[in-house]
Amino acid sequence: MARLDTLARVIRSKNATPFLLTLDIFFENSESYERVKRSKALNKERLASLYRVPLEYVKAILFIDSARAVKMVLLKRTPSGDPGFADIYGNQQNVLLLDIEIE
Amino acid sequence: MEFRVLGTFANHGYLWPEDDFVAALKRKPDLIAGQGTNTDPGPGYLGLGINICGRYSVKKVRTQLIVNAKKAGVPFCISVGTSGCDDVLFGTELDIVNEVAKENNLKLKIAVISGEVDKRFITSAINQGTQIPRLIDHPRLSEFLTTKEVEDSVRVVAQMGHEPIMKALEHDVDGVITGRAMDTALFMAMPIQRGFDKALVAHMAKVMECGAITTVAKDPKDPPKNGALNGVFGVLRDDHFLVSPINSKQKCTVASVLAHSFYERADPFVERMPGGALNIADAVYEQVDEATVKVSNSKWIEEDYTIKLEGVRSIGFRSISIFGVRNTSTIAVIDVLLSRVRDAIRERFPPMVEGKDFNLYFHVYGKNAILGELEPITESNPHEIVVVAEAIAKTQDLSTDVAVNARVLFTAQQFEGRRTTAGNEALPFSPSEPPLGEAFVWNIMHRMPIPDPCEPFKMQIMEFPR
Repeated sequence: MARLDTLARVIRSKNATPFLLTLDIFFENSESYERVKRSKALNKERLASLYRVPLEYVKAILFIDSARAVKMVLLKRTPSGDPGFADIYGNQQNVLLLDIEIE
Repeated sequence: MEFRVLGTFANHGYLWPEDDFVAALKRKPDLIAGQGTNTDPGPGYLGLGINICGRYSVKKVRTQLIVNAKKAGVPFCISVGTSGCDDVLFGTELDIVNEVAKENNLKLKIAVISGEVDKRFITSAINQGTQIPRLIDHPRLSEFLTTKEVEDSVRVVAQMGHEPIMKALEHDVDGVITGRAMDTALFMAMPIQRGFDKALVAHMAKVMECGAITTVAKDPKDPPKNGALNGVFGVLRDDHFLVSPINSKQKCTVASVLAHSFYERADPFVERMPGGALNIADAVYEQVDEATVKVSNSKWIEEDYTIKLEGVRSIGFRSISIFGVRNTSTIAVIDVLLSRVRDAIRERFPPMVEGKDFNLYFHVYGKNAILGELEPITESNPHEIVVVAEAIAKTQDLSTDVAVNARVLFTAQQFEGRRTTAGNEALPFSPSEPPLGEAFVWNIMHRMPIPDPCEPFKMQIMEFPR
């Protein structure tokens, strides 16, 4: 088992409009990318649970082989700028992905 | 045929380097383009009608761009003002352009295009049966825009496409300055006017509109001082385009260009623009030299013409209190203390009701301010934390009143292990509960079909100095 943090070069989060959060993961080599893809650790249930949103808020989990990248998109619990949520640009929501254990 | 574009970093006022820009002008661009509007900074800028940057930096980047562009005889297309509303465009932004013209002895003829949409344009369309669906399937947005929501909003802006800019370029102008616009539109208008392939134009625009974010450092141990805060250069040809940095310590790679298409987008392959969609799923990327990437095989799909509407409504007024805690005995019971404060506030403020007349939030930095309920780390022992109390209320005075009483109630809490009976908190400045003005949330993020791409965006030709 290895933490996702040790396998990927970039693990970032950013708003895509104030209502959607996009999470991008970029891998340095095919080995790590394929390992994560095979593990199925990045799935809708896991994301919904980590980000505490209903399952249907998870809009996409895309594995893009040509870029050795994963893009995940979910509706935000709290739209950006609404009071009570302290990450206007959505930059620091990536933290929840770092610890994901990959087989 | 070839068309060369010098793209700047975002034009909100963030300080990008002049030397790289001037050097890039030697590569003989046909156009200088850059975007300076964005919803990322949140609803406050559109609500208050303010720019994100101060006058000094906006004037500096405007001067760099306009003076050098005029000297080199290169036309420019830029959007300005962060939210891109009329108050900012026709206020500070054009005042600054005027100063730049005066102080540099320039005579400028500029097409100015408003990105703010008359509310009646939208409400009359709705009343005539036009359906304006939400951009994102989020329950906080109404499925179809209502006239009430338009009226509730402070002002509405829309991302104009390239057509109004093309029309402006038919006049013999030094440049075009717009309010809210689709970022790519600033880059697309001129080359489309010259007959280049729309898909390639749109793709090059997409790659260039964030400036040097699409580059990486050649040597991570010797990176450029400004990092990604710099421009980028594009060369468009009949069946491909090339993109490269304007700073010698950077390079574009296939990976960096590809990664950029993912940036802040829900869909890495299809990007909807007014009038159509760019599909880059089958695009081909080739590294032609250390710093340059060649891109080809982009596709454009025609669609009905729609524009994205953006609007915010007021939720009251906001005041905050920032107080630090350094006594670890206090930090150990912070949750209990804040809970007591909230209970006391509820008792103190009737007939004002929490949840109706005011709302109080505590952001505890050092514990779980950023992730809130999602924070997985529940056990930690910071020696210092900061509480940011945020009060939102129907008047500014009430929001300050709630914030200050919350802070003082915290100061005075008595608990087991308390040592400093003087007060539980450390305040960094005075006044300690600064009013932050009106608070807003996004209420309009909808897609409106329009019959004429130029109609909602009023254009004027202006001469500077005025």
